[in-house]
Amino acid sequence: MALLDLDTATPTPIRSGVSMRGVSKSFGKTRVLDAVDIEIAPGEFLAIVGPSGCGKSTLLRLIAGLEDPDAGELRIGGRLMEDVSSRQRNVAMVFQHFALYPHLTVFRNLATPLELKKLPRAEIERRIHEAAELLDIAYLLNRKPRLMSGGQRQRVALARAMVRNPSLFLLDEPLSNLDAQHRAELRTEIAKLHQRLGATFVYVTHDPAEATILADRIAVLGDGIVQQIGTPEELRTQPANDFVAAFFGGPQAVRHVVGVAR
Amino acid sequence: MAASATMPRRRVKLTWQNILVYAVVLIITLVMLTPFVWMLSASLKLNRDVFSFPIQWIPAEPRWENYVEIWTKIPLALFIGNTAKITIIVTILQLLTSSFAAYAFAKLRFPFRDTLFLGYIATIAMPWQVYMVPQFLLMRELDLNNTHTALIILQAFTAFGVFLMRQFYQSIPDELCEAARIDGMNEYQIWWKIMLPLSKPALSTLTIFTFVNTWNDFLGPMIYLTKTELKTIQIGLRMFISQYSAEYGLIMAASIVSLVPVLLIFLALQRFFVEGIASTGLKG
Repeated sequence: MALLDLDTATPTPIRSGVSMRGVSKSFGKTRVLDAVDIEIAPGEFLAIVGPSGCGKSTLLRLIAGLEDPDAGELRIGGRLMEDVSSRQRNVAMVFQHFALYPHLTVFRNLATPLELKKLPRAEIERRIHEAAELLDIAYLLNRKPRLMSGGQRQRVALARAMVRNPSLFLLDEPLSNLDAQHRAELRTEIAKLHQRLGATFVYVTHDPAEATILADRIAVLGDGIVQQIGTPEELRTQPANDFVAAFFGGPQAVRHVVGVAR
Repeated sequence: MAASATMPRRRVKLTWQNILVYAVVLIITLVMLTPFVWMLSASLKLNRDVFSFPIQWIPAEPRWENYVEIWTKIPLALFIGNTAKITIIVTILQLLTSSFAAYAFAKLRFPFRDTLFLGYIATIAMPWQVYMVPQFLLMRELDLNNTHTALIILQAFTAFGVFLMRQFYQSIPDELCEAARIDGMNEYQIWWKIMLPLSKPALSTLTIFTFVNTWNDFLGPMIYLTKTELKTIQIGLRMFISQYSAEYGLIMAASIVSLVPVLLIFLALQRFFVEGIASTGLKG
């Protein structure tokens, strides 16, 4: 895969779908995920939405390989992920708290994953400058994360994810630590990135509005199970149950549910 | 202590309470400095003047020769060399082993991790005097009596160091390790490239503790080292004491000399040490 990337000027879209079948996960006695089935098509932008504590972050961490499922099977790009460590999955993750290496400059932050792949120096620099330009952070390359705003940091985190040409982007509430203005900017940036790279994006958020704007399809998670998967439009107009309606539907849907309940 | 008492004077209101606090702090400072000043003064005296009463704080005729004699009367340079060798090796080993173990205890998940940690930490409560004899017998069995190696391997591992480093590592967000894992690092690389550079304040603190402790260690070298050419400075000082007399002036002079490296280490690392106490964490 790395060889392919070397020859092309723009990142080659390597798209991996994700398939989860009957995936369960418990922490102690708490069952966080209960036999979850999700199919994510290659190149799709899927948002996972749910109230806090519904297991949406756990789901993402399972895909990233940071946690192992207790039961069920997980495939990325058709390949079974049992016994495949995070490092070998070629996924990139963007964290809520940015998780940039505080002691390294932005340039070194971006270079780290590439150096670990043992890419040649020129290729590393080329990719970093390309990402920096795309995300408008070229002027930050020599700075350390400590001296940057939240918005700038999350741009850098996106760039760090992007330089590796991952087949799969995992984003864990990337905007929830930002102020309103940066949130709107970054949202646009993420949409642009998805369009341009064509990679598969899995995006966890607790904000239905954010999911509606960004995603092709949305999975609503609640009580450890998938309540409904569908396009934003479907979720809004045809919520499968009260949970989805209350969480997701517009005022109309809520009124509808309340009406039914009465 | 004296510095912190005078620095914020402008902002602090002059109330009776504050005056009292500063008076107490000042008195404590003086009490703590007195033995040091006495040592300095005694190091410039003839043996017979050291204990004269009332104490003559500034000797009428300071004997600077004391500082020359100490190098010839006993092999002081050799002792300092021995002490430096043991101290430096022990300090480096402790930094490595402590941070290594602490990484596992703080950031990895394995069965019985916390139980194991608790058990290890519990050994801090066991005074060394309780097990120093069996330990000595063990070392003698391994044929390590009268070697520096015995002292080095006995001090290469420290439960306190692991505890200190683990506490610090816990303040480093897990997300950072996870990001590194996804970026393609293995656990050893995360420890070496992420955790170690980030834990400079904790490493400095541990360096200061270990260096001072090992440098000043008396009982350990006394048990294990009997040959003159192996002795450290702390037991070497005893060579000024003979059966019927003790050269107190020279002992104090040599003590002052032995203090210098400790002081230098503290001054060099003080910046990080203070930073470690002042920093509120790495988040944000």
